[in-house]
Order: sequence, then structure tokens, then C-alpha cells
Amino acid sequence: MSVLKVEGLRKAFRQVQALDGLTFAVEPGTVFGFLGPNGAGKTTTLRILAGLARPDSGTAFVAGHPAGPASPARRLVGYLPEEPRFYTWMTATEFLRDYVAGLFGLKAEEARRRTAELLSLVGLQDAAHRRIAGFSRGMRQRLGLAQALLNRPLVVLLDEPVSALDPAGRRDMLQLIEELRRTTTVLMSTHILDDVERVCDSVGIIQDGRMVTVDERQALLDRYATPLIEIAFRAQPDRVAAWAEQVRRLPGVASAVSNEALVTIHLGTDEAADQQVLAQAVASGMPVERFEHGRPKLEDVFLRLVGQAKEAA
Amino acid sequence: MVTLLRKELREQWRSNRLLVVAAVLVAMGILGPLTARYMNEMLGSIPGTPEGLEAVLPPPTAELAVSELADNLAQFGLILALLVPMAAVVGEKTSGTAALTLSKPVSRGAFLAAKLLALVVTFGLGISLAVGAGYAYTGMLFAWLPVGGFAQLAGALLIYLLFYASLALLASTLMRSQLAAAGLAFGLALALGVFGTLPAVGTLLPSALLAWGRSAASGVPIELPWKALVTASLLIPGLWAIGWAALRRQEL
Repeated sequence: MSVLKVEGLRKAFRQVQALDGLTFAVEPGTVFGFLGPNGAGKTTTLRILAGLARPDSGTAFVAGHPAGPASPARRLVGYLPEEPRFYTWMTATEFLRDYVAGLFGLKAEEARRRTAELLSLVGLQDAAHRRIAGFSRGMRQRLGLAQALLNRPLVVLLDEPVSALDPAGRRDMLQLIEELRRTTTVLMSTHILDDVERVCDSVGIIQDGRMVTVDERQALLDRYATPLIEIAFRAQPDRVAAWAEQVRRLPGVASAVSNEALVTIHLGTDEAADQQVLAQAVASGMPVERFEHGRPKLEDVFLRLVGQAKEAA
Repeated sequence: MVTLLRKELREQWRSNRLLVVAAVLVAMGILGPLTARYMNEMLGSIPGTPEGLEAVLPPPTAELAVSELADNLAQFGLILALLVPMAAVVGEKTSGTAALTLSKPVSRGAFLAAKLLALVVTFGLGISLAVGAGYAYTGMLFAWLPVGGFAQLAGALLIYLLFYASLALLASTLMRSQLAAAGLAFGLALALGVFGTLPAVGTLLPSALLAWGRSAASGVPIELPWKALVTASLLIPGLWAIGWAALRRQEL
């Protein structure tokens, strides 16, 4: 049974149709990447699931309970907004142990133990008794994750959890999210494709409030990502650019983009096209430093699907 | 609910709001009897004061002290009652803390009720200390009046101030910015002040309780204005209920 189920959600803000019949489901124990460009409807969906907003029509279920402002589903959910805000006059311990644990009705001993566990998990144990006002953005994001996990939720909703963090903060946060797979289900919205590739098992791509596709990450890559070749020449960039232009016209080549002496070529479905490209490279007379098949990326799938969805619209 | 109330009270304390409310009210409570006692002497000592002015000023009496005390607390208390709750809800909505709290299993009614109860505690404490200080100064400077009368004055002032604090809390729930909330709260208070001058309306408003409290503290009790008490008893929870109904429909 799906732990999250979204059926035909529609939501408009005046003239803007934020969600337009959005439907998808998330299986338990997975990290689901909710991927889409800015304004695609990711945050609106998460706010509906967290019980902070209502859809105009359609329903969102959390473990079978309809989500909403008075729904029991809120006991089962942990929610981290994109920019979590706190009562900055509280310390991290006060916020988790006295406030959030109290809202979930945890007993004092359990609240104390859980707070210590979580502060340690997110690496804030040294800042446990510091006022939140003095926390950096990364620390606030980690505290936000801790509060989202305090009730041992069935589902954790993370809205762009790493978009505002520096590289080290991003790495740490993604590592934490990866570890959550063992204990809970994660729905993570993001527009950063590398993060999805790194931690997500399943991916849903949303565009203009509609789900473009949902599948397991690898299945999506296998299905949509086109083969890729990278060729590095030892030659003048203008010669390389001219060669790339010539290759682009070959049958079976979807695109060829040059950057200085490097050419990135996306192939279509014709498996023999790479042989033709190799032959053209040799025939160009330019010394080839490197010729390799690149790994198809989710970025390619995303750009392709979002592009198709735009064209269809 | 207990967690929410504890947070509200802790916030009142940490943000010094409790201290400021208590300090301002206590200062006003002390100033009432002091002004009544020394105003004539102060005016007399100022060079150039017109001759005979002291004769037209009321003589310093315990009744005058009580009257000054009640007026000071009602006027300055009203300003505090409109200012203190101004950001209570709208501030949390705009900062995002309301969303963080209300994504947890907390009812929006409890969220709002905790804020109202915190106002009861803040103003209850402030008024108790202020009337207590006023009682002590009136006793020391004039005569020791019955404590029960001052308790009645404190009750009347508290109900009066809580009514306006509830009004400001409602404004804070309905509006999308603190400025708009302040504008609505002051506008409603002004409108009530104007309508309150109509005798038929004035006897119904919580301000009618002030005369009863003042008389009781002066030792000359008058009949309790039941209508005003009933109105206040209905309006304070009624304003909360309107706010709750509005907050339930709002998206965060």
C-alpha cells in the first residue's frame, strides 16, 4: 500500500493554476524525488500534504488518511519547509524538547531522549543550549530536519532541503536524508538534479502542476536518457566548433555541443551512430585526446521531459 | 494546549513584553495617587501660575486618587492592550513559525486560545501589580480604603483591557500585515469610543464597568452594570471564536 497517495489535485491562486490534476503515489521506505522547475507546484503539493493548505479539488492521502488542517495525518508526517523559521529566542533544546515534543504529546523522558538523539544525528549537540537566533542557515536547516523527525514520522516531507546550503552543508544534509531511508519514507522536492540522482530511489517530474512522469530512478534513466559521447580534441576551439556543427547533421545524432576543445554529443536511438561519430572524429584530422561514452544523467531526462511537456502545452 | 500556552508565556517573558506591560501599568498605578496628592502643590510652586488656579482645582482626596488611578490605567492600558497582541498571529504567519507549528497535530483554536490566555496572564499580572501599587500609595498618602473595592476595580480594568486585547488579537488574525492589524484594531477601538458616547450603547460596553470599579475602590459602591458585564463576557470569547473561524479557513 502506498504511504502517500495524491489523486487529481487541483489548486489555483487567482489566475495561476498551481496544480492541475496532479496524481502520484509514494511507496513506503523509499526516498522519492519530487523534481520540477521553480513554480511547478512542488511546494503547494507539500503544503497540502502537511495540512497547511487545501486543494480546490482532488485528495491527498497519508497512510490512508485524507490530508488537511484538522487531519490525524499530521501525527504521521514530519515537515521541513524550504526556509524553516523558528522562535529564535528559544534554544535548540527548548525548541525540540519543550515545544515540538509537547505538540506531539511526548512524555518528558521520551522528549529528552529523542531531543538528544536528534541533536546528535544532525550534528547540533554542541549548539544544544545556544539560542537559535545565532544559528547559521545550515544549522537552522539541520534543526528543521530534527524537528521534522521528532515524532518518528511515517513520512517526511522535505521542501528543497539543500537548495540554500553551501557544498559542505549540502553533502551533510544529503547524507542524513540517505540514512532516513532505513526508518521512514521521504518525499523530497528539489530542482537540483544531482541531489535526486544521489539519494532518491524514485523520481516524479512535475511541470505546470501536472506529473510528467513517475518511475524508479534507474528505470527512468534507462527509458529516457539518451547515450552520450564526450570527445576531447587537441585543436583550436573554432575548428572543434565547426566539426561539432558537422557532426550534428549526422543521422542518429540528437545534439552536439562544443565547449573549447570538448564536444558533448547526445545520440538518438540508433546504436550505430557512435561508430559514425568516431569515424568522423578520426577523419577530422584533429588529434583526439579522449573519446568516451558518458553516463546518461537525470538532467538529460528532466530537460527532455520538461521540454516535451512545454511543447505539448 | 499546555505546550502552546507555556510557549506564549515564555515568549512574553523573554521578549520583555510582560515586564514592559507590568512596568508601565505599575508606573501609572503609582502616578495616579501621587498626582492627586501633589498636583496642587506642584502647580503652586511653578512661577507664573495664575492666581486662584489652586482654588478651582479639586482638593486632594482619596476619591481623586482612585479616579486618577483608574483613568491612568484605563488609558495607558488601552494602548498596551491594542499594541501587545498586534503581531501575535500575523507576525507568526508572515515569519513562517505559524506554519511550522500548525503542521503539527495542533488545532488552530488551541493556537489562538493560548495567545488569548497569555494575554489574560500578562494583563492580569500587570493590573494586579498596578492596582496593588495604587492601593498602597493611596493608603500612604490619603487613607486606607477597603481592599475589596480595589479588587473590584482591578477586575473591571482587566475585563475592559481584555476586551480590547481580544479585538487586537482578532485584527492580528484577520490581517496580512502588522500595520494593517494595528490600523484595524485602533480603528475599531475608535469606533467603539465614538459609539460608546451614545447612552444606549455606552451602558452595554465594557467601559461602563470602569465607573463601577472606581466607585467600589472609593468606598461608595454602586450597582454592578450587569449588561456591560454580560456583553464583555460574550464579546471576549466571541471575538476569539470569530478569529478561530477565520484562521481555520486561512492557508499558511
